[in-house]
Amino acid sequence: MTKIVFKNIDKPEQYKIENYIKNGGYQGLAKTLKEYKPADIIEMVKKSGLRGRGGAGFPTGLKWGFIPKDSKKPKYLCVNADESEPGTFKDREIMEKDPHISIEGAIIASYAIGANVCFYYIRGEFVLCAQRIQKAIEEAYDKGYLGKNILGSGYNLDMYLYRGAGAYICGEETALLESLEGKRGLARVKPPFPAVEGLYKSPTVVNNVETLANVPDIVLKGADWFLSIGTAKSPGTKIFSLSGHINKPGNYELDMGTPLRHLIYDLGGGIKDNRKLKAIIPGGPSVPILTEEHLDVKLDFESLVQAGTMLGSGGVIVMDETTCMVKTALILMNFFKHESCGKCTPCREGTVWLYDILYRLEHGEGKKEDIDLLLKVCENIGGRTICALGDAAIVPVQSTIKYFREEYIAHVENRGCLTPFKFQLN
Amino acid sequence: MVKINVDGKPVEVEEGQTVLQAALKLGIYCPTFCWHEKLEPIGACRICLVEIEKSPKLAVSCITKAMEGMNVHVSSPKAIDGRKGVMEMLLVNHPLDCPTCDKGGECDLQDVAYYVKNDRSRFGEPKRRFLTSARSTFDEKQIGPLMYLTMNRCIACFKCVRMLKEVAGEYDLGAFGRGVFTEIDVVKDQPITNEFSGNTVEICPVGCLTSKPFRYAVRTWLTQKKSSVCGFCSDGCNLTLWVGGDKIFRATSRKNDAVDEGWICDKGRYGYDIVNHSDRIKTPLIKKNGKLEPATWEETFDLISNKIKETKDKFGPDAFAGIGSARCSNEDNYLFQKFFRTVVGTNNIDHRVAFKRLLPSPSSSSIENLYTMTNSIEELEKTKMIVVIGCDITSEHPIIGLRIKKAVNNYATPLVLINSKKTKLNAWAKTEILPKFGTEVALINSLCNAALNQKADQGFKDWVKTYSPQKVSEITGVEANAISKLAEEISSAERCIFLLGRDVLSHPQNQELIDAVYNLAHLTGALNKPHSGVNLLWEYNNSQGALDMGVLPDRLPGLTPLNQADYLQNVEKVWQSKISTKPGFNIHQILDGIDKGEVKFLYVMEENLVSNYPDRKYAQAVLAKAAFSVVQEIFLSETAQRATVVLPAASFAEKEGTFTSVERRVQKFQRGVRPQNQSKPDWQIISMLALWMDYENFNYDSTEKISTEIFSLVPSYLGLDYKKLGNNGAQWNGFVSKKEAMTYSLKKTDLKPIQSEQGYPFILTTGNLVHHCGTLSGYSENLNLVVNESFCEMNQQDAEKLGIKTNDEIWLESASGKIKTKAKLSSNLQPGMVFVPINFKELEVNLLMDKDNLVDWIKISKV
Amino acid sequence: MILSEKTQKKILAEKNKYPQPKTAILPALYAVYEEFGYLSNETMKETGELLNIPFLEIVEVASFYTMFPKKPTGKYFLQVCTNLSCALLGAEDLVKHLEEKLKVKTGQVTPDGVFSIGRVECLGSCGTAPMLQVNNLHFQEDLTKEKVDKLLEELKKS
Repeated sequence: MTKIVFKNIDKPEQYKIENYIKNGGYQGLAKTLKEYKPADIIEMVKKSGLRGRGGAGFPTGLKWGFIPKDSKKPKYLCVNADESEPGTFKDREIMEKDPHISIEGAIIASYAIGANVCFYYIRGEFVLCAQRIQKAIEEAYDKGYLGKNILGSGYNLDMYLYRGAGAYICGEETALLESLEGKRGLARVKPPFPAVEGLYKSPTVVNNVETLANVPDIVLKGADWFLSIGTAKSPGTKIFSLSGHINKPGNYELDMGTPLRHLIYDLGGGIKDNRKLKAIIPGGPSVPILTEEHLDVKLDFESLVQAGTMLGSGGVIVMDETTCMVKTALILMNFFKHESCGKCTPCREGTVWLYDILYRLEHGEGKKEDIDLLLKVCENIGGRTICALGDAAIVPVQSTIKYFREEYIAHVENRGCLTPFKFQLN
Repeated sequence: MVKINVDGKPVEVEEGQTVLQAALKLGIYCPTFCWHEKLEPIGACRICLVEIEKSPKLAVSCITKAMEGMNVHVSSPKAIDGRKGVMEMLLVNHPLDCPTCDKGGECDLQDVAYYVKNDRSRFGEPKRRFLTSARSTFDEKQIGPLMYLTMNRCIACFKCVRMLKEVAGEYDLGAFGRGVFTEIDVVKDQPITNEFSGNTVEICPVGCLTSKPFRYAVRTWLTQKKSSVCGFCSDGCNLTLWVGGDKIFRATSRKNDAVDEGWICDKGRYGYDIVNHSDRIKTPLIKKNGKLEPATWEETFDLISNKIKETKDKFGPDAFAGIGSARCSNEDNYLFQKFFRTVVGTNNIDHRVAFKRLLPSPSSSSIENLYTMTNSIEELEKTKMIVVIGCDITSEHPIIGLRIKKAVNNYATPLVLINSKKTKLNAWAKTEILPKFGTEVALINSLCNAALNQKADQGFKDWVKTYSPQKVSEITGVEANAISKLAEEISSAERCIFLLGRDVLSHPQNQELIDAVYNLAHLTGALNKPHSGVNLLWEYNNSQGALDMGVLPDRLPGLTPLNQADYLQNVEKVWQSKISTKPGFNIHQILDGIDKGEVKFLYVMEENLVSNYPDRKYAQAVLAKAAFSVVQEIFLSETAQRATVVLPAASFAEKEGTFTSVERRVQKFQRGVRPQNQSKPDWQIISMLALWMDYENFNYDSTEKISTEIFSLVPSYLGLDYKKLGNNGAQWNGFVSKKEAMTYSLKKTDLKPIQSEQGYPFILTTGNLVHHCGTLSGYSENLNLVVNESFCEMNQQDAEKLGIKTNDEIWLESASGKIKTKAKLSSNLQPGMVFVPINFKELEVNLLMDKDNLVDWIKISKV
Repeated sequence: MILSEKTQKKILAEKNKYPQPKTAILPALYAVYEEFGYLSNETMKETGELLNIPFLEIVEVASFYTMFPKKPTGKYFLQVCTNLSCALLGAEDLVKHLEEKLKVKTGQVTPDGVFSIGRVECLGSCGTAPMLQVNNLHFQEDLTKEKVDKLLEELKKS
């Protein structure tokens, strides 16, 4: 297994700039400013095949390339550190333990798109992350990696730490921009895409922390090196956050294409208490669940799509045989209804409707028709909302019904749940 | 242009226009809730879903730009199914309380639900509920003096909040929380009172926002809609009156893109209730033994006509005087002056009662003498700089104010405010200059000095050089470099519109100030550039029309001098009467004439002389002296109370006719209701009186007949067609259209410093409040719910020195009189200045005024 | 002003820091939250005055984000993550345990004003579930009943 993002993660006090530099840090930036024009960097990243690690998997170089070259408006880079997808905690570890790798990546990206201001938007709950990033930004200024005339190149960049304040939707890039503009975090309609009209109506790129953390090594070692890792269409590595009924939860950086079984059994140490595996969410609740039969699926963008799900954020939640699927859907729907921004009708109204039905089913007041009604309501949300939250919200319902319809029927017939979560607080 | 097909029909739209706009252009209906043509689209409600070929998902038509060759289906099964789905979602939490909802019958949600034809809901859960209190029945609350909120009905289109923020720049209604509990509300203890609040009620697609005066008053289908024009300020907003029987239930906007863009202010929206007010004069009244007693129209006509004959025989025609009205229609005013010039035979007529120093009568001979708005409201969007001088635009001309905000917001047009006090528009201004009251002429001269170029001859240059920035800075209190910087900005502006308002018109040096601005406009080129020019903003709904109709002692209709032979001939032919070419008395001369006993007979048409004349004691004394006075009025005003005969007049809503707005736009208004009680339209009263006196030439049986006469006689109105005035009205242009080619010679306009008055340290200024207009709106119970108390606004430091706090009772005292009111401390006013609204009859502010002193000095003491 | 001078200074420092003034709203609200532990109408009004932004807009923004309580909480506001990963490992039990221990329900404050309990969505502590957060500041991870009891004791003492 190759380590790119996590190569120094467990080194002592790696969050300090002297240690980061000692371990090879900021050489990517130095090389960038010394050897490459912004367009070269974009080309290199395009060639490397790096895709966004936040969830959507959009090719990063392509995104940078959308920034209009002739625009007279200022350009902005926003680091999306609003990591809020349930079951996902990879960016948190990067920010806490190796903050500079993401900052270095962000500086290179800013240079590539011609931005002189960069916002590092961290979800408000990540207090330690904010402290580490703030400190890291200050250190970077001190060492001349930020500010005026960086490393004598004539390139200027200011970076601001910005803290969200409790809103999952602000991880959606347009809502993040609204939030940065000091507004309620309502998703914006696209187009115009942020590359054309983003922050303050100016061209803007929004990149995930993990995505940017890959950039310094791509610059240092080249696109071909990166392409040699992972699969042809999903090059590089991916960090998976493993949680739930698993013996060794935590973050694991794997080459793209590693089988799911390897992650769960070899690295994760298998299911807690040797119970039977029931379901796996492979990339955060916004992606469909998998079951035991999918254990040999490879963890990369394409293979997971083939298996009927997605790579998503890499938040792998493992559920054993004691887990009630209706309750799982209910918990997740509670989350989505709580986080729906309320701007567009289907998501605002639909998430609550779905929640109400699931609640009845779970609490013994379900009817047989409710199961199909759930699917109908999902159909009425999917593809009709402004942002992906609506599409994500229906996923847990659709996929749990797909694999565990009989469990839903049992909830109706038995007037409630016969398999409440077994795990209790020790 | 982009060509697309909608439901198989080809259509061309401009680049950047949306699929929805393309469908609308074809006349294809596509439902919308959150979309509004004047607001930025947000694509939130999703009801306008359409199918676009080759696109996997349904598209939201209000935000999808039309692209060449697109095939759009509004009516395909897939699109219909999509909209059904959205409709089902929208009704999930809506209470469906249509039977008791005030919006019933005009509710977008109801209409679209009907159109979508989905009569089943699969939703079986309890609905989300906002409760205003544990005990509330209807889950509603009052959020302002004129507004109610029923949050459970809200479908979160956000149009209310968007309108206020985007268009009006107001922040007293917001969206709070998130998700299904997103709530529209005011913030604690801050009711919604902004002057555009009523628009939110009008654009609310459901019964969430309702207006206090209209809610539960009537079902809309029991009313009739009448096209009207607002009868308050001069902006000329188009209204729809909703009437049933003889009652007006509400007024809403009747969108005219050239004027109001579909927004109206709350005084226009809610002030209609003066029409049905119980204090209206019910019958003609004749003074008997010092008391006004009801009489019949026949009795009064007999009395007046006999008195006219008697007085004319005894004292000749110049013993008569008439005062017309800036509130009455063109037809009313036209007949009024025609009556005086033909039946009576005098030019003793005027209508400019509120001005101490009258400007010369406008003349169509040259543009600077027109004293009018030479641009249009729409042009404010096309100009490159707007300079407002002496006007609290937001209060005096709310809709022009909106257009200025739009120019600033959408086109980044720099706005310059030159006022002696801070006004609400300052949040939009790039530059705000606050010269001391009375020094404005010096400031403009100084700007001219800084903008000097070859257009000025040596004489002018030498003269204007005496107004150096340093010297003028000392006089005006404006920093010297601010003056130079502003001059530079105005000179370099590609186009520039100057707007001069109430404070210029009533300024002690009004004419010099206007001339000075013309000098500046000439030097900076603004006189001859497109979408540039100098604009005077008259105050009332038909101020311009009263001028145009010749209610002036020295002008025939069309701003033509009395002695312009060819025109006079024409007029005499049409009127079948000789007309005196001797200029008559102006307003001050009329009053002096009565005072001296020269004028025996006074006829006042809808003008509250006592309240509006800038010397109340004098006006009262003069009226007491008048041998015979006729007052035609809506309410028994202070003036009417002193009349020999009072004639009940119909308000704008009870008659039809035309008004000419501030931008010279002639607009037709329909009759809303029958004249209340025994009142009659002013034109009809005059016509009947003339007929009573056997002047067959006054045989008008409709307003159209009068308008037709106006449109075939009055030069600037020539060619207008009453029938074809249509929905948007028509601007008269005349000389204005040639202004780009006009020549102008610079005038030397010297500052005449104002003289202070020993013992009276404060300068009194007056004006309209944002929710009131003149003294008429004070009768509106609706508007009085927002503001009904007079006050005196004064500078904070001044007040502190006198130990005065807000709401303290204070005396205002001048050499002429003394009045009591409440203090309101403010940082908007410069030290030494106070502001008193003219809108409340209880506060007789003109008691402090002396017609012979151009500046009113007062002192203030605590009660 | 109700806001302390220190908070006022912090807010004013944010005022002109960003390309557009409204961006300062959230950082300013953090400063207020740090001083008071919640946002009141009065403090938000003052924030608006300092930033020269309409009070209404401040309230609108504050109302959207869940990290700013609008009412006073306990001195220690214990928010338990009840999203999936934590729920799988006993988060509901954790809430119940806290409610029993502190004798108040979720959303309430203990009579002595020391503790209040809340539920929160995923805090990115899934690998160390179940967890709770104290005052939007400290994560308490890998919780057991014993650890919770110890935490409560420590907090009570301090």
